[in-house]
Amino acid sequence: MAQEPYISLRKVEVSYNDYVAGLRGVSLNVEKGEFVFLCGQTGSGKSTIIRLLSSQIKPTKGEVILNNRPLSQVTPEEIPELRRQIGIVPQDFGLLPNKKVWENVGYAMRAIGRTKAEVRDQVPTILERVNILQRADAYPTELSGGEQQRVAIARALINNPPLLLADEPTGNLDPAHSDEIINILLELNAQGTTIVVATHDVNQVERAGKRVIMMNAGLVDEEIDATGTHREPAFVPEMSTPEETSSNPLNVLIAEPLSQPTVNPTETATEPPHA
Amino acid sequence: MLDRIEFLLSEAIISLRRNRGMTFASIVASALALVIVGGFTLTYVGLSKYVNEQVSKFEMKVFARQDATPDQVTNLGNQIKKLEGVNGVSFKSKAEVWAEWKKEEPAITAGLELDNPMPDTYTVTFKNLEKVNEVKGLVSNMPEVAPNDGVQLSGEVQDFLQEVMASLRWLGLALGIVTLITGGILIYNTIRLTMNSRRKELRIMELVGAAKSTVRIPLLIEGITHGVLGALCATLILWIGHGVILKVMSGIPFSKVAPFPLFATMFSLALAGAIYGYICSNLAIRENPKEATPR
Repeated sequence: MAQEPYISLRKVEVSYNDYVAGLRGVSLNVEKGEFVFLCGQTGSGKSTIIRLLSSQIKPTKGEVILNNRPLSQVTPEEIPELRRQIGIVPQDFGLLPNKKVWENVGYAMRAIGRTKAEVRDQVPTILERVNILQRADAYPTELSGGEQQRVAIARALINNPPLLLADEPTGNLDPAHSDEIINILLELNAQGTTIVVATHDVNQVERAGKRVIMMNAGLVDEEIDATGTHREPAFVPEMSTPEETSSNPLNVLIAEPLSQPTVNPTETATEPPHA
Repeated sequence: MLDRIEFLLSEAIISLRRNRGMTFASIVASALALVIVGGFTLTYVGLSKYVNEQVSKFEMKVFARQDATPDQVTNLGNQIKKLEGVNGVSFKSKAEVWAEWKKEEPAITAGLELDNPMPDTYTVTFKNLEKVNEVKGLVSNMPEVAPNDGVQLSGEVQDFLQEVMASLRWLGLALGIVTLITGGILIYNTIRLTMNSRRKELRIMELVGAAKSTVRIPLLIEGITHGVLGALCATLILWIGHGVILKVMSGIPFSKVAPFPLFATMFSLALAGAIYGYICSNLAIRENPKEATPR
């Protein structure tokens, strides 16, 4: 019997309202230990997939399966536990400006119930993994963009997660720092971590030489495997007639919300997304 | 465990310090609300105690008709005894009353030896002052009772006290509700502001999978702290206010002010403040923005 994929999206649709859709029927699989780039322009649906996988939102239709478990079966109470199995790297780093590098990582550890002794023991090792230990006592404002992103990755590693989701991790960085971040992600992948990266940086993706899923207007446009071979998308929605196309408001505007919706972290169930 | 408590408390302290202006405003509003509620409650309880103390002293005189037979007079006493709210009935014959009056007012009674104008008299005491008017009405209509002024109360002050107590109850309730709502809105807003000012921390907690309780408890502690600090301020204000009243009343003869129940007040208000703060902050945390939620 064939092994189930680690991540599986089956005909997933996400619509925010009558006029804004995040995904229009996406099916894709990611194997355990794989490194996958979700590539596309703003509004193509790549960040929506990251949010789906981290249970920040739920699909309108279809099913998202992570490690053999349909996420639709995950209750709001179980979401924190699920998130501890996933490292999430946000595009804007999400660092606390009034805390030093080690405190930023330590704070996240304390928030998930680790003791001060555990923080003291483990933070240096985590910072070492992303090569930022030498700046442990610096404040985020004293760091370069690449260094800040490394701290954000370090924070995502506090649970030693088998899956790392990164939303535009190089979006705010220059090419040199982008390479640095991608190399860190490649190293983590080499250590066995499954990595899904949402990015619009095509050049960066090409240099990495990993599987790429090209997204466009809420659909998988094209897939390129690690060897550079192009593949057809796993699911293509049925073609609409011109009349249907004009009458379906989802076809009028396909976009992810441009703003960062407010999230109430006390209600983790189906809240929308940080950018 | 201690480590976790320390973390949650430190988070709550950070929240309290983050919005000092709003924290101060919500503590003041809570204090005001609790001063009103606590002040009215204390006044009501004090007055109620005073009124109840007066019950034993309160009497109603019932005069029998001049032409009533001894059997009718006895029957009148029995009927009065059966009425609800009546504690006891004592009887004095017209001769006894006349003798007492002659002793008290010899100048007025001189020359009236042959014609005793006094009626047979019952003195009625009560268990409950609220029943006085009802009893008075029933007794007045009894045929054995003298038709005009056959029933006399020892003082109308009781009615006045009853009215004051009823007014206090309603006024306290109305003002208390208004100020409690105002204070509640302030605590609610303060918690919302805290959530907004700490959104980065809260977001990090969310991303790394912090338990819901880790996110909520510091915010609840913050709300409870507002309520409890407000309660302590309210206790202080009431204590000072009581001292002022005591000083003023000491100049008025026969006035009596009960001692201030400091610990009972502080404990009751702190408990009320804690519950109040908890409810308000819990409402603020549960309020959930619905922007761009997928359907």
